[in-house]
Amino acid sequence: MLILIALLAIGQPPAADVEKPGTATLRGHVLAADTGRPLRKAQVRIFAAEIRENRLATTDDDGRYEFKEVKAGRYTINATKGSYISLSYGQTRPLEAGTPLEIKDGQTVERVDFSLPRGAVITGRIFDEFGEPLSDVMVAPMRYQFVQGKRTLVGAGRQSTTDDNGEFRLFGITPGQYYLQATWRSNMGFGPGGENQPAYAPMFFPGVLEASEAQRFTIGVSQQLSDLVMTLKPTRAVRISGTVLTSDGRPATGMLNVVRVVGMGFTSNMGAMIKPDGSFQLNGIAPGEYQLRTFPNGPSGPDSETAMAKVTVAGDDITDVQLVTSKPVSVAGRVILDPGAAQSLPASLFVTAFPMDGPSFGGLTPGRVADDYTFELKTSPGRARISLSNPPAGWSVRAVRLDGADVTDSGIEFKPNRNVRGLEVELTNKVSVVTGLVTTGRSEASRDYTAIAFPQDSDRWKDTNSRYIRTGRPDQDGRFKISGLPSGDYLLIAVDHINPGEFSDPEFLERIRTKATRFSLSEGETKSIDLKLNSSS
Amino acid sequence: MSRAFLCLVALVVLPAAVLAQPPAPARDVTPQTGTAVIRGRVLVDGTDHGLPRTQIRATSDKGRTYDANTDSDGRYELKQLPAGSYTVSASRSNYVAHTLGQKRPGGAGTRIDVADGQTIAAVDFKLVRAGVIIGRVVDEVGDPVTDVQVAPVRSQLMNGTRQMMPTGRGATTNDLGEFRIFGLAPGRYYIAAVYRGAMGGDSDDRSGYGATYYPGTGNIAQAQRITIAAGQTIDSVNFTLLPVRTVKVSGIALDAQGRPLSGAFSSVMTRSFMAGGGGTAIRPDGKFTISGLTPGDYALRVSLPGNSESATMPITTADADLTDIQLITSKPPTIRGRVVLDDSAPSPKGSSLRVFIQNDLPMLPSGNAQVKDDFTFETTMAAGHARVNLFGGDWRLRTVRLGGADVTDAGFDVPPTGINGLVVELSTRHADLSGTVVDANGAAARDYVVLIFPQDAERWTRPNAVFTARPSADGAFKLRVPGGDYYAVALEELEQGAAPNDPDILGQLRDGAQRLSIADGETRSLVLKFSPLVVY
Repeated sequence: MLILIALLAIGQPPAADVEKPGTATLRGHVLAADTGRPLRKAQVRIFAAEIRENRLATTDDDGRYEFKEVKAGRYTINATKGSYISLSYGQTRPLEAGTPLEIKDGQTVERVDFSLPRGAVITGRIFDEFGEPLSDVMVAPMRYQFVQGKRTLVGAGRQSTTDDNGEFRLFGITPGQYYLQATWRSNMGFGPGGENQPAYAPMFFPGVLEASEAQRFTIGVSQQLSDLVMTLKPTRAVRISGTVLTSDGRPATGMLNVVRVVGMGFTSNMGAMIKPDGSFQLNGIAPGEYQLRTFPNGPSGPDSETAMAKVTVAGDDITDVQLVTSKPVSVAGRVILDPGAAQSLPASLFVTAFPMDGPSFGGLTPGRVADDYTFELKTSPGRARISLSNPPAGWSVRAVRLDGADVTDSGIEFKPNRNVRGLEVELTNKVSVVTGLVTTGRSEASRDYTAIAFPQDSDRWKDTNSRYIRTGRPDQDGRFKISGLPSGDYLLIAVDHINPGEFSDPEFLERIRTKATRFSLSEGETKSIDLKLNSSS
Repeated sequence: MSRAFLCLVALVVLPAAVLAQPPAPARDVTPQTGTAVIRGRVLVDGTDHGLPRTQIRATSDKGRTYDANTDSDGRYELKQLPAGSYTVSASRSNYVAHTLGQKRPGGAGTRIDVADGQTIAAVDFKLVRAGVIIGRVVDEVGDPVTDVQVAPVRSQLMNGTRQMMPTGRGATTNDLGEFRIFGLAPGRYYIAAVYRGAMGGDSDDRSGYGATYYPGTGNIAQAQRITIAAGQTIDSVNFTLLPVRTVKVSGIALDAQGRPLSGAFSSVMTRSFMAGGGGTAIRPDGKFTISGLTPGDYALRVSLPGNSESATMPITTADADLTDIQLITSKPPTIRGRVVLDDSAPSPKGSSLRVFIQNDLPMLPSGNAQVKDDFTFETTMAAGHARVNLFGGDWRLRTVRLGGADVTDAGFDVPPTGINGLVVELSTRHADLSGTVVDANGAAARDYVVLIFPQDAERWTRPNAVFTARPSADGAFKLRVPGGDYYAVALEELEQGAAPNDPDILGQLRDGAQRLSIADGETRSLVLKFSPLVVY
C-alpha cells in the first residue's frame, strides 16, 4: 500500500527524448531547532511538478546536504527526520504549504537550511469496562481539515497501537488542535469471531462516541502530554449476514472483507469466508459505516468478479445482505488531440477512471493509449471521472465526451455488466499561466501569501476536486504562478493565510469573492495580474 | 505496509505443507441446544484475580462449538448445552490459551461428559500471561532509531530455500528507539531488527542498515536465541543496527515492441526475510535507477499500470551496483490446459474444480482458473517458474504433465509466450492410514503429532508431500495419503512455528522412522513409538 502511494506520488520525468543533466547546485543544512545541533540522516526532497522532477538527498554527520546537476525549475523543498516535524522551505506556520524556489541554469543556491522542531508526544493507557488494560487499540490523532469543501475530521500523523499494558505513545506530532480517537482492532487476521464476542465502537477521548463532544487537545511545539486514560465501553455487537452470488447466479467462493469507512480512509479490516452455499456471517461488528467487498479464492485477475456494498450498522443485526458479483466495467474509447496542440502524442499515456463516490479499493485498470489512439480501461461500478493517470509534463485533459455529452466534470455513472464504448478524450498540451506580484497595504512587496484562482460561476465551487480552483505561493522574488487552469471567467485573490484545503469550501470562497479581482483566461494564455494582499480573517 | 506483506507471505506459504484435516465429524444429529450447563471461573495464575472478557469455548465430540465470555469477576456459564462430551478451552489476548486437562500449550485436553439437565460447576482455569520482550534499537553512534521493525524470527523453508521468517507478531520502534513485543507463546526465538530506508529514485546516499539479529550480528550462526517461558518478561534486548553500504540497480525497460517503457514504474521487493521494497518511475528513454538496496535477494519488476505488460527478474545484491539490466515486458502469458479425472469416483461438474498455478515468487500474480464444464481451463499469470495446486474437494493432484514430461514436483517455466496443453491429472484414490502411539513404557499416548513423509528426500519440500495428524478423542489418528513409500514418525510435539516439511527436521527423523509402503486403496494400521527429540 505504502509502495503504491509512493509510486503514485512520484512524478514522471519530462517528455524529452534525451535527458541532459541539470547545471544548478542546491545545498544547505538540517538542524535540530531545540539544540541547534546538526541532524544526521535527515531526508531532503526537492520536487518540481511542472517538469516532473523529484530527487532525494540525505544529510551527512554535519547535517549537510547537497543536490548537484539540478535542472532549472520551480521547486518545493522539504526536510524530514524521524520523530521531528517535517518542514517545507518557506513554511512559517504548522501545516502550511511551503513556498517555491525558482532555480535557474548554472545557479548555485546556498544555505537552504531547515531547523526542525521535535514533534510533540502524547502518551496514555486504554482500559476495558472491567478496568483491564486493552491491547490492540489503535489510537489516532485527528484534526479538522477541509476535504472536498467540507470541514472533516481526518487522521493527522502517526497512529499508535496499545500494547499488553494498554499503553500507547504518539510521537512526531505537529502543533495544532487534535482529537484522539481509539478504535479496537478486533478479529484481525480473519479469526472465526465467536458468537458472544464483545465489540467496542470507536471512541474519542475522554470517552464519548461523537466528535462534537470530544475533548480538544491544543498541542504546542515539542509538548509532552502524558498519562491520558480512557475506558472503552462495549456496544451491542451486530451481526451482518447474507449471500454472495456470481453474475450467473451460482454461489460465489472466496472471502468477504469488511472495512470501516472513516472520513476518506479505511480502518479495522476483518473478514469471513463465504460458505459453499454462498452465505456469509460477520460477527462482532460495532456501529459505524462499512464497506463489504468480496475477494476471490487465490489471486485475482483483471477480469475477476467482485461485489461491493455499503452498510450502515446501527443497533440491529443486518440480515439478508444480497451481493451479486460482476466483472469490472470495460470502457473503450479513443484519444483525440486539441487542434491547437502539438500534433503528436507523447509515448505511454494512460487513461483512467477516478471514483467520485468516496473511497473505493481495487477494480481499476488504467488503459494504455495504443498507436492508433484507442484505449480500453477497466473500472468498478459507480460514478467516476475520466482523466490521465500520471500525465507527462504539460499535457492535460481538455474535454471528455460520451455520446455527444460533455462529461469532463460530471463524470460517468458506470453500471455493473454495462460496458461503455465510444468514449472520446480530448487532450491538449497548451498550458495557461496566471502569474503576478502582491503588495501589502503599505505598498511593500509581500513574500508570504497564498494566491487563489476560482471560477466566477459559483456552481463550479461545489465540484469536489475542481480543476477550476488552484492556488499558488510566492517564490523568492515574491511571484506566484498558477498553471493549467481551463479557459473561463475567474476570480483571483491573495490572502495572508489559508487553512489546508479551505479553498475547497464554498463558504470561504463566498466570503472572499467580493474582494477578488475578475479576469478571463483563454486556452493556453499567459496572464500577469498584480494583487493587493487581503486578510483571510 | 510490512504487516500486509507478512500476511501475504503467510497465505502463500500455507499450501506448501498441507496439514491433514481432522476426519470429518460424523453426521451430527444431536439437537443444537440442550439443558446441560458447564460453569466456572478464570483466574490469573498465581493470583485470586478473576479475569474478565476471556473467551470460553466448549467443543463437542461432533465438532460443534459453544461460546461464552467471562464477566467482571472472571466467571462464565455455558448454558443450554446438549448432552455430550466436550473439551473446554479459555483464550484471551496476551495470555497463553489453555484447554482443560492439557499438559502443555497446543496439547490435547481432556473431555467433560454432561448429561441432560446436569450442571457441572467449578470448571476453572488459571491463565498465564504470554511472554514479553522489551528492548531498544540504536544506530552506530548510539542515537535511537525510529520505525525499525523488530520481530521474533525462525528459520523456515520458502520454495526450497532456507530463510529467516517472522513468527508471531512483531513491533516497531518508537521515537526513543524502544520496542515491546508481547503476546509471545512460550518458545525459543531469534530476534531480528530490520530498518528499511527509502528505496527509490536516484540518490548518492549509500548508507543503510542490514538485518541485525540479537545481540548485534548479521550472521544467524552468531545470533543468540532467547528462551521465553509463559508469563516471562525479558527486557534489555538492545541492539545496535549494523551499517551496510547500499547499492543501486539500473538498466533499461522496453515494451514488447522494443519501445522505451516510459509512463511505467520500476520496483524492487525483497524475496527474503521481512518484507520491504520501493520503486521509481521509468524515465522517458526507458532508463531506471533504484537506489538504497541493502545486500539481499530481490525481485526487480517493471510493469505498466494495471499490469497489462510486465517483466520480472530475480536479482541478488552484494557490494557492487547492478547496471545495464535489460527488461523486456510482455503481456501476461496465458496458460491453457485440461483436467483429467480417473474413475475413482463419480465425475464432478468441471466448474466445481479450480486450478491454482502458483508463481515461485509469491509477490507476483499467480494463475487462478475456474475449470469449465468441458474440463478445460485457461488463466493468465506472471511469467516465471510455477507449480500447480488444486482446490477441488475430495479430488487431489496426482500428476501434472507438460509436453509429456512429469512436472508435478519440479514445476515448470512459464514463458512470456504462455503455455498450451498443461495436463492436470486428478484422483480421489488414496490409502487410509490409522493407528496409535505408545510411549517408552508402552502406554498409549493421548497427545502427539504423527508425521508421514516420502522416502525420497527430493520430494520433502514439494507441496502436498508431507502429512501430519493429531489424535482424535479416542487417542487414535487417521490420515489419507496418496499411495507411495513413506517414513512414519510420532513426536510429542512439533515446536511452535516449525514447518513439518523442513528437511533439517525430516533428515533427523528419518533414522528412527518406521518405513511404510502402501498402495492406493489399501488400509494400514500402525503402532508408532515416540522419536527422540529433534534439534531445531
